[in-house]
Amino acid sequence: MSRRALIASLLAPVLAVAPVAAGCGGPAGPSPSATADGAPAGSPSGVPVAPPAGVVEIGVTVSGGKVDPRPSVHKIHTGRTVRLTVTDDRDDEVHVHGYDLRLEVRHGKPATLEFKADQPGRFEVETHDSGLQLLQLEVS
Amino acid sequence: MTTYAAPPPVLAHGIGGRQDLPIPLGFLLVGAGLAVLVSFVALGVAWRSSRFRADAGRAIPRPAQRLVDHRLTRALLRLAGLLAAAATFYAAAAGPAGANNPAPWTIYVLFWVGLIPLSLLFGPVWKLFNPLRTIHSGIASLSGGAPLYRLPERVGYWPAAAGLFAFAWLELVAPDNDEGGTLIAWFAVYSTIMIVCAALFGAAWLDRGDAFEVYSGLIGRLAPIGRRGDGRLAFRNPFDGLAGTPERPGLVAVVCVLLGSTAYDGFSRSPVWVNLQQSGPLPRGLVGTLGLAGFVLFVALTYWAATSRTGPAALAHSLIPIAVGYLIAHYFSLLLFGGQQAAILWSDPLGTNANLFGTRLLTVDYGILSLTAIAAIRAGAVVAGHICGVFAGHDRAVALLPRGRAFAGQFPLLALMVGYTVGGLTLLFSS
Repeated sequence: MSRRALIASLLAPVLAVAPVAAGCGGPAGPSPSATADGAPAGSPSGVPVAPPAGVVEIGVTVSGGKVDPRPSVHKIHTGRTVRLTVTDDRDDEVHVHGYDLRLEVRHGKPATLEFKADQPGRFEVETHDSGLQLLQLEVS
Repeated sequence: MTTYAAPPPVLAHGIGGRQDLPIPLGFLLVGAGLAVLVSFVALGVAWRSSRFRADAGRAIPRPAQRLVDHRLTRALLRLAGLLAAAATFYAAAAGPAGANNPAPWTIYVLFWVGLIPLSLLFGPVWKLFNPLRTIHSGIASLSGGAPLYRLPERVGYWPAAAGLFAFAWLELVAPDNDEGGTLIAWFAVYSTIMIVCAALFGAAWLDRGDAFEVYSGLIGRLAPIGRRGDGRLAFRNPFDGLAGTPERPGLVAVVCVLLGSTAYDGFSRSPVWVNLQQSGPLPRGLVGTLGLAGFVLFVALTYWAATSRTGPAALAHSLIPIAVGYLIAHYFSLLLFGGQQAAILWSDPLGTNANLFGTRLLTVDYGILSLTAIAAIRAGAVVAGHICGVFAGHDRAVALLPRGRAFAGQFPLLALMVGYTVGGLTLLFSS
């Protein structure tokens, strides 16, 4: 066991006060409503739905560790709805960074995630297990 | 077709989940224009004999200094550093996986990025908190032993340059670098090396060899307060502080690692580079390592070529503001937003649904600064760093070079700085 881990376990009882010393007194009040309308609007499973007007459709396929189409930057206007469909040749989990959305993908089956792009910034979309970047969303 | 509902927001976080938007083209053009203009003003009309003095400054009142230097103050700061490190590594060991754990946010955001504003304001602050220094002095007082060897002068800052490169590699290249196990392994190796070397060479090793003390110390040269040669703390012109940067071997290497790795961080997010890493013939980690090393070497070679007349070390301090400008441009929004994430996660550091500070259910507010303000701060930091670097370099050049040759002599460095600044702005614009 490393010296640090040893010290850490010895000092475990002070954990309750330690975070104060860790300097997390920074930004005190992040707004709790920040992602209130960022929750995805799911479509009932198995029923094909025509995309509503204004929905940005993005489709990505992963096979043999290759991403098709290759990762690129998708520019999205703030407030638009994004519908992301991922097909993977292995079970994995897709993660939309920043929005903190996850999508379970089963071998060979297209999986879809729909969400409102209401936070501006650049966000990477990655697979969790294989660690591949699928695309980047540029919301502005 | 299957649709999954999103999990509650506490389940998944990506370290640095949000990245900055590219700066607008206008910011790039105005910034580059300003950089060129100021450079020629510096060359043409600025002062002709050196005016920055390392020992300048107005001493702070004695009672204030007594308080700052008091043994109790020092002991409290050391205790805070020790507790923070213990809490962070305990959370890394026992808390949730990956970016759901406060430890990676504390290390990459609060510690690494947070040290920039702290050092810019107060000087070499990490020295005061550094738990390795506390452990070293504990061991030294227990064993009562003096250091076994004198640290040779030629070692200089080279160990710190190597340490900073290793940390940049951890942050930008290493796989699973947000996992507690990875962080504990890296810091266990690093701390062991530091403690052993400090036992051999004494606390002087930590002054020059500890990557984070050197990082905080060099940024702290720009602080409006510093210690004069007579030991007094003094308010001073940051340019005077900068002029007092010790010209040790390896100083150039430290600055090149900071500049090169920050530039690589911006570049490595571009889809072209991502594609090369994911689909190229070489393993991902190797491509990343080569890319990082390539950026650092590029900075080193261009700097070395531009300073052949004065010697690289004499002008290295003038790159410090440029490196700080790069660091602010790339990382200040990470401190703004990642700092919120750290505050949220410390409410539940072990993943037990605790809510120690009542922040567990909050989410990061990305709207606390407008997009235009963020872009302006990023471009402004690069240009301001450039301007400070130009004047610091000019002042040293007129001190070192004979009067007739001072202007021709500083031209290569000026051209290089313009190149770094336009290159840095272009990275902010295009990636």
